[in-house]
Amino acid sequence: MRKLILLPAIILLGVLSACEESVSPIIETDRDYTLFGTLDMALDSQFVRVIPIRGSITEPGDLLDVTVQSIELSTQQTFTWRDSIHTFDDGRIGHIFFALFRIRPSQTYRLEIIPSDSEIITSAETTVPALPVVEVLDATLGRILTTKLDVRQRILWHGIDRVPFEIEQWYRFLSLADFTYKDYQLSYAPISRPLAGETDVWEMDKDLVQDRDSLATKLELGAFYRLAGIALRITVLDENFVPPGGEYDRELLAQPGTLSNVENGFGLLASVGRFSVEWILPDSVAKELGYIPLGNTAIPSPVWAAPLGAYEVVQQH
Amino acid sequence: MRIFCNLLLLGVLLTVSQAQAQNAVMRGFIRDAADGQPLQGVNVILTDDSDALLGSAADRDGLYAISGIPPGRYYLAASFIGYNTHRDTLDIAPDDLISYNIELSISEDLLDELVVESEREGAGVAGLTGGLQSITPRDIALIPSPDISGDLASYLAALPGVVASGDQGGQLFIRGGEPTQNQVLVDGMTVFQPFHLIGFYSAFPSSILNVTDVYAGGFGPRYGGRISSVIDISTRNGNKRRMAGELSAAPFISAGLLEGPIVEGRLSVLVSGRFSVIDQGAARILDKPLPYDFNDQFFKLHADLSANSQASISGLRSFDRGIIGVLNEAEADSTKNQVTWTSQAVGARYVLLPTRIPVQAELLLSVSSIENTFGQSEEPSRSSNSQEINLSTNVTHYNRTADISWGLHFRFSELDSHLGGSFQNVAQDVEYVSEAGGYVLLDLKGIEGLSFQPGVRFSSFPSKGRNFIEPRVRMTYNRGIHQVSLAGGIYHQEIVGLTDRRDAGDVFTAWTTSPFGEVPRAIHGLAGYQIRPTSWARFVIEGFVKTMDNLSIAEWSSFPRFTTRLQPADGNVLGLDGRVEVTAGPFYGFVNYGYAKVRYQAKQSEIQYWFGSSEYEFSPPHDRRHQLNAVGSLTLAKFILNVRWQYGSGLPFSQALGFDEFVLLSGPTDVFNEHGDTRVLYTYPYGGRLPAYHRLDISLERSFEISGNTAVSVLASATNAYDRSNLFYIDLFTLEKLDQLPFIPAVGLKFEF
Repeated sequence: MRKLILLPAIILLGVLSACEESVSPIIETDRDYTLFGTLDMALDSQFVRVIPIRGSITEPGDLLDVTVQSIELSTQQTFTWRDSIHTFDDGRIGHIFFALFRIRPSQTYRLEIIPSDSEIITSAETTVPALPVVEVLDATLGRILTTKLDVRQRILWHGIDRVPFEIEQWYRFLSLADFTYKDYQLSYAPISRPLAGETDVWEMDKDLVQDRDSLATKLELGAFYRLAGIALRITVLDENFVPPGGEYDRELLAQPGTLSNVENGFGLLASVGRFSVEWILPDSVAKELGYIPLGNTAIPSPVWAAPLGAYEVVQQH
Repeated sequence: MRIFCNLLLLGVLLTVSQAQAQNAVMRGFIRDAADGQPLQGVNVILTDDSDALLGSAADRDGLYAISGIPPGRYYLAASFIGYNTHRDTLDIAPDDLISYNIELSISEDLLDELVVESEREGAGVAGLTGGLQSITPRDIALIPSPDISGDLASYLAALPGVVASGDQGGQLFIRGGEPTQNQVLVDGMTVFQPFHLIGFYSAFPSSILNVTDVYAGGFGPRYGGRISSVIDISTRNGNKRRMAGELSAAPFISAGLLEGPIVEGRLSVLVSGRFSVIDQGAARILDKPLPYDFNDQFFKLHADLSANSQASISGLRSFDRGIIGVLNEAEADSTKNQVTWTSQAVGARYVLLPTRIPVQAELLLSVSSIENTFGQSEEPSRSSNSQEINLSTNVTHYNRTADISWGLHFRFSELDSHLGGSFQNVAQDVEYVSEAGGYVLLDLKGIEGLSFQPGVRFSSFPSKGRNFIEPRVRMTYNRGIHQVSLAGGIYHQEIVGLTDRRDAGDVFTAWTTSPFGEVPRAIHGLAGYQIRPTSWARFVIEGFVKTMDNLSIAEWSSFPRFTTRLQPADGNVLGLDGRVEVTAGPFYGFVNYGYAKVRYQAKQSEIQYWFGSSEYEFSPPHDRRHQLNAVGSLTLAKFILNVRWQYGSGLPFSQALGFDEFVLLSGPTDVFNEHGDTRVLYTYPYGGRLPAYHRLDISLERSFEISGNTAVSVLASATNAYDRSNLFYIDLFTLEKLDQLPFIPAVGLKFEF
């Protein structure tokens, strides 16, 4: 009788102690990869980072069993990217995929991460900023309080509807001694703003006197140097780059899904447009500013050497 | 300040008017003749020749008071089952103010079991009245534990609505409130963080306890400074007749207690000390690292200064050091995640029954402190020190139709935190906070069976420029076997404790003023019904609601780091307690069920693009929806068998989609140079639920009497008898899981003299 009473109790205790429910802090998800990278018009090879989404905080493994490919949607030109394992300066490793091709303005590129063991493709698309048309207006000469020289030149970038990420300006001089060019980059950007009443024209107001004064402090140009040209370069980011709230707040942007255009994954694929324009000042203006103009001097080719050559050179109106 | 002055004036007027009262008042202290201990619950009844009744029950000081006595001859009876009834005949004149102290001696004719039953009157788990539960050492003895002496923490964890984060950590959440929102008072002294790292233990061994009142909500205006609950502990006085003591040893703790008269019958001392012996005991039994070290000490001097006055000085120290959630030997040896806290309190209490005025007055002075550190002892990465000085007085005026209580308090706090960046948006300066306030409480007794207690508390913080007025009410109506109770009120908490609840293993608490300038506030409401259909069973059901504003929670971040910022949050709690208590001969048992739903609402701008809104709602990690406790105690042939089974539905925990690296792209980026930061792809906070918790604890105890006052007790216990793997937490980053304590067989010994 006693055994009959004890038996159910023992069974109950056995069941209670054995019934373990499985529990995991990691939720099953269809998102397998995170993608970060920019396609850059300045480069002839493109690089992106592919990060596997992992179930623990451990580092990614040595092998990613995926195919990464990019497609230029208008032409369906497809490149297969190659994996490389890179060790960062803090000792961590990461998978960086690369492909040898240049991106073109206005083109949309789709990047796909295709796992070998799943039908879920992680993908992202980016459209490269369109080629702008640049209008370099004639320089205007004037004097402030009749004594101080004031020389300005406006440049209008048609087709630029957002704040350029970066604006650089250069001056080029030709040495008659050895027929080589000397390039000087200014440390500041010209004043720029959207053109009043327009949504896709970016206006730059270049102060040529300020440029001259800035160059004069660091250049020792002798009589052999002729002013050979002026250049402006802008870097424009594609619309995917626009952060919510307009600021690159690390805490905010790190929230999953924020500033992300990746389907079935996380991260950001964006593209960078780089454009430049060059022109020569009229001799009269160059002289007024104190430069020795190029005049009839024979110009060696090419006019602009690297690194400007990596940029898309925009034709003037 | 005007309110404060008005209250003082009211007190003076009441005192003067009481001095001119026409009805007689009789009051005094009731003590146990054997050791001088106050006897709570003794019924003192006056009857006249027409059998008209007047009466009162003694409080925790053994103090009784009968007011509004018409002149005449009365027959006094002071009765308490288990003791001989004290009888006398008194002739009372119109303006008499009678001080009448009583000593009761234990009846030799009554059985032990009857004593047990009698002491359950007014207490017991189903004695819940308006959120109030009174606990005596005899209640605590019902709960099986690995220690032979028992501890208040074991009993609290068996109450519905009380949620422990686990059997490690020392965190008790009462009806949805955070541990730092619970006020713990010992003989009127504030005690910070009194619960030890191992969940069976607090700084309160049952051997030093007299009565503990636990207000799970709806507490009256006498209490303030916390928004969730009150644990008001009254300790025992030392034996005033003879030297006595006890020594005990068990796998987790060893303890000693000594008490006795300094001046016989007048002045006594009680000294208690406990020290953890886990390294030598439980860790060896379990064969796993348990890097916990804790101890507590208590002393009390108590003096009967005269027939009308008592004074006591109490002191308490509690120390804890350990690492929560240790998974291996290496972690146990490392002190970088070590949390340490030392809580101390010392205070004096003076109780006076003025010979010419029918009032009871109490004066309290205490100093309390808490010191918290996290990290290595020599160079902690975080520390928080808080010190509080309290001076308060409580006065009760006895009237026939209404007792009027009022009180004043002054509190001065010094708060000093060095948080090592853990809460980045919290100021880390030394702060000084002063508070003055008071309360008025009426206890209206006009209708038979009805106790209606409206009151108001006010507090002023001159250094913060804040004033609070907090109306509160408690009501109990008894009719036959039925009792209905209601309670509610408004509560504020200027000084708050901050804990990062994102990590179950992090119990470091920083005490500071309300971080966002808005003071946490709670509104309580509760209603209960109790019925005693037979002499052997009692049922009670109580529903409650708490809303809490201006709470502080750790914000959600994608980066797995220990630093965080605080975010404001609001919370609400809705719940129900149901309890059944049965006493049948040598058996006593109860089953209680608790349902509670705790929800927090918070706002965090960063998450709006992930969750779709910057406002979100979640269940905090102490939202245990269902709890069931079944406790049985059987006394047979001098053996006491105690059994408890606990069930708790799973606690919330946070889940994630996984981990990746986050690279901030703010322009053309060279991916070879940007290693990125490890990121948690988190989901909704606390969206997952741990498995349900259940455990069976059993103990068997037998006492052997050696001589009159000398006895040896032996206890054998099994904690988690069927070795249930109750999950304590999962490390989100490593996926390692840590279970709560497994099956622990234990033997304890106690020697009493």
